[in-house]
Amino acid sequence: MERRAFVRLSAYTALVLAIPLADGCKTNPNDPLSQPFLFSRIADIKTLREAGMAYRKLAPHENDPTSLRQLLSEGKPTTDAKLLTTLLNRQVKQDFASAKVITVAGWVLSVTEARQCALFSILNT
Amino acid sequence: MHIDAKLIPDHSVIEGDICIIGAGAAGISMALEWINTPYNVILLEGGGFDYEPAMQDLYRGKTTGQRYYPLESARLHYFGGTTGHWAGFCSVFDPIDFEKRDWVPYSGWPIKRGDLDAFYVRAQRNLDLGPYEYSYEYWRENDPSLVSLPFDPNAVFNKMWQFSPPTRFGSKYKDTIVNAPNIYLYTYANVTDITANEHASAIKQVTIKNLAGKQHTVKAKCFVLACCSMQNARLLLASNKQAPKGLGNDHDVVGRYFMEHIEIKSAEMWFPDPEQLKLYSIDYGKTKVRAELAITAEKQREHRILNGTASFSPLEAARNQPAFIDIWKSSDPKERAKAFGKFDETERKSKSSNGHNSFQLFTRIEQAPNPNSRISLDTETDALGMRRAMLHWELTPLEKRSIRMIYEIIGRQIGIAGKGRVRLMEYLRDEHDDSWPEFTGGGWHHMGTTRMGTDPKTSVVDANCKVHGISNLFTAGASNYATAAAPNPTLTLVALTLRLSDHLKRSAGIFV
Repeated sequence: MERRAFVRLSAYTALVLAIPLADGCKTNPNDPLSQPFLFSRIADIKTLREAGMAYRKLAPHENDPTSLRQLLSEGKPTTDAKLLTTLLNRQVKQDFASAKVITVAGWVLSVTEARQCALFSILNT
Repeated sequence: MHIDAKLIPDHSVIEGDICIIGAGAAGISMALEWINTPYNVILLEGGGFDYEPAMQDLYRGKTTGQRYYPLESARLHYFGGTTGHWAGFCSVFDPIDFEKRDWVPYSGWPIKRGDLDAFYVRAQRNLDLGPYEYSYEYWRENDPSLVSLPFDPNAVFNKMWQFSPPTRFGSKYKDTIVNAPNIYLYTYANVTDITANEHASAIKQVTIKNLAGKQHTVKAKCFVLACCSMQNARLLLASNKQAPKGLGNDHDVVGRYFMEHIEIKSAEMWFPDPEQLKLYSIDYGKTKVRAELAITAEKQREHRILNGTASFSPLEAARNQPAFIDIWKSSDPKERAKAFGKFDETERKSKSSNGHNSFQLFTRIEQAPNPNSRISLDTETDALGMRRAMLHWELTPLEKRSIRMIYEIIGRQIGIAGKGRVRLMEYLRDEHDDSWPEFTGGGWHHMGTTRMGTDPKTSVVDANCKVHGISNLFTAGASNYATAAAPNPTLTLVALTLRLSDHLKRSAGIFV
């Protein structure tokens, strides 16, 4: 890679990484486990955090990133972000269909996406 | 024929076959049915043809319990009655509304929805509505742009509403009534007493009074009380010369089971992309039909909840709208009309042609029949010497639990559809909290008080709207409702009145 192009790309990458940090968000946007797909298109960071914190109060035994990651990854043997997103979305819908639903901070959410919010809130305290 | 009761000689005796007390939606609908029959019909209206503060004051009364609107602002006291300011919302009761539901105390009517269908068809005409069609499929076929949210129809369905222009009975039917040769409309004819025979088994006459100081007597073979839920109960309770507890009140039921629709903002629905939701929108004065979200009978049974619906308003505007109970608190009903106009305007302005990402969900839900929610008589009297009505409005935990569950069901459905999310308002979040927020309001829909049933211990009238134990006294209107259902009461009360009218026509013996 040409040196000038490398410098430009590095600066751009640094900027992209810095924006979420400046916003107080330490989540990797490519980490589907902490990004409820549909809900994060509706809710802002504060709302995601509030929902996550409310869930952690309701389920204190899950209140650590390891447990949450484990619960969210269960039955999804993949690290491919795109595939994981698809599998999580499917699980969210299944949750709603099978009444695995919880009300957190007023939001009627699937347990899966509530856990995603919980993980998000831990990573972004 | 029209007669002003202020202008006839004092202590006149008026005689006819049927005496209809009250000229609102029920009374006028009843009178229209009897035009050109061989019977002389006396139609008594307490007020005149226009709004008058002194007449309106006769409706003033105290309220206790759940916060409520000033009583004198909730109804109109002149020819045409409360249709003078109604908004025209019409929908039919669901079959489940008539059933005995073991989770809803005192539920169950002695008639079924099917018993009303033929009368709904006729009521549609009185109210200038469209065809008697309340299925979403019918209206979608007529207008493909009425797209439904993708819900499982076994859980949530589109309850269709039709909108009357709204028909003002006072202006629309005045000439017809006044020109009818056998209808004798008396204005300024406030009934203050109903006189029964010695055993209180039949009515002989009623006393009418007005603010001009005149008093008259009306004799008829059959009497129909059609002057709204509060006034029907007030009159029966006040008529206590032959029956000390009031007419039809041997078992202390008259005035009890007062019901309102709880109308309250309850939740929000959020979408990732803007939605038009044309099917669920209303443009007052223009929209002919719209849908509200309703919970199927099966789901109501499963979750043991009351029947209610959810309507949509763009959230941005709805958030800034004060609650009805806060803006419609003037004792002057005309002020209420102005406030309603402002409300419409704000909502209209907020509408965006690009749609909205978020909507407020507004509940209209039946109140469970409750004997403690009641009309009684105050010690204070009105200008005609009649004891004023007093309302104690009381709700139960079932109403609140039902509202919460309705939005959890809707929240689940929008989640299954992958379309959006629902957020409950703060007051619904704690399932152990049975209290109601300050902005809890009613729809100005007064129901119950002379409820229909087979058992005189828990009802006032039978399936034909006849007061138990009194051979020639009937009640018309929403006071007959055993349960309130979700829809506004006017369409159903007109249908019930037409059914009563047909019953009376078949009961020729009553006029001998």
